[in-house]
Amino acid sequence: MSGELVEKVWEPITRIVGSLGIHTKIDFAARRVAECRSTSSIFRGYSVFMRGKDPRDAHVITSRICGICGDNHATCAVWVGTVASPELFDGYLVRLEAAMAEVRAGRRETWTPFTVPEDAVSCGFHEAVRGVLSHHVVIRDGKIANDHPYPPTSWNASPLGGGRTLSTTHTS
Amino acid sequence: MVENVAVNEVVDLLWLTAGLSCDGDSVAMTAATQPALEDLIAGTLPGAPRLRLHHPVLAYEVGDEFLEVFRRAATGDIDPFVLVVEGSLPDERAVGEGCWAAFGEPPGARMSASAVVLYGRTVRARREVTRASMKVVPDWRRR
Repeated sequence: MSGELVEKVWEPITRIVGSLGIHTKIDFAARRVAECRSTSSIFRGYSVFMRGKDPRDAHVITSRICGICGDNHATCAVWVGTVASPELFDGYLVRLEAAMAEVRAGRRETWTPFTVPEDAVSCGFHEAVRGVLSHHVVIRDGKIANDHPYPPTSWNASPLGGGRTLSTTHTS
Repeated sequence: MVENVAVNEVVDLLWLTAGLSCDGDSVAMTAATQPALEDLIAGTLPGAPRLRLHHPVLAYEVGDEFLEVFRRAATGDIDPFVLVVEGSLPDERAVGEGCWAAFGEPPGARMSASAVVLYGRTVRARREVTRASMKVVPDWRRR
């Protein structure tokens, strides 16, 4: 059973950061959403000016994306660095335990050297208030060649269905 | 009886986060204490008009319902009102298709040329004020 497609638009969606709009076509008789597009009406340019930056600076810069969930962006950017470096990622739990042992022993200062890989493709995920936030980074010659922060809305309201991200929010 | 509401006025405050902002200013404002945002909205401050706040991060309304007051202000239906633009102003002339920042418009919509000119004039004026103030030697330094 299918009925008439009704266009429903919510733009702007209030009570969030990022000027979000949701454009849908809904078949109410069949209780089905035929089309759903999320859009952000503001282009801030982080994916542009992150190019050429040192990956170790990424968490300081990208945390400025949001005045509410800056810590989520910082965490994502730090994870990007951890995932990009095989020796760091593989030894993550081992080092975490070593660090905890240090803390338990009362020694609160610890240092793990981090070398930026010359070439790497990496990502970091973090649970933000609205959903999953992720940063996807390409590192070339030790610098960021491409950095895309994917806001939760791209995951939640992607036009290709849940889990597949293709929206105007991040194709910009 | 004490007249604790001296100005029996209501002022509409239209707040735009459609500048290139992180909305951190809005978040900071919710934590303000002197005065608190709630005091202004409730009109409990003597001498200060009651505030009717239309704010994208704090509004109950969504979409068209939220935009209504902005449309009414644009057509002169609400007068006077206070307009706050949070964030920096993008140069819409430096974009090909679409726009850097839009508000309640269909995707791809552009700002009107007159709005861009007004933005530019405001930015230039503020820059002049800042420059002029930097050239003035303050009194305390003269002494």
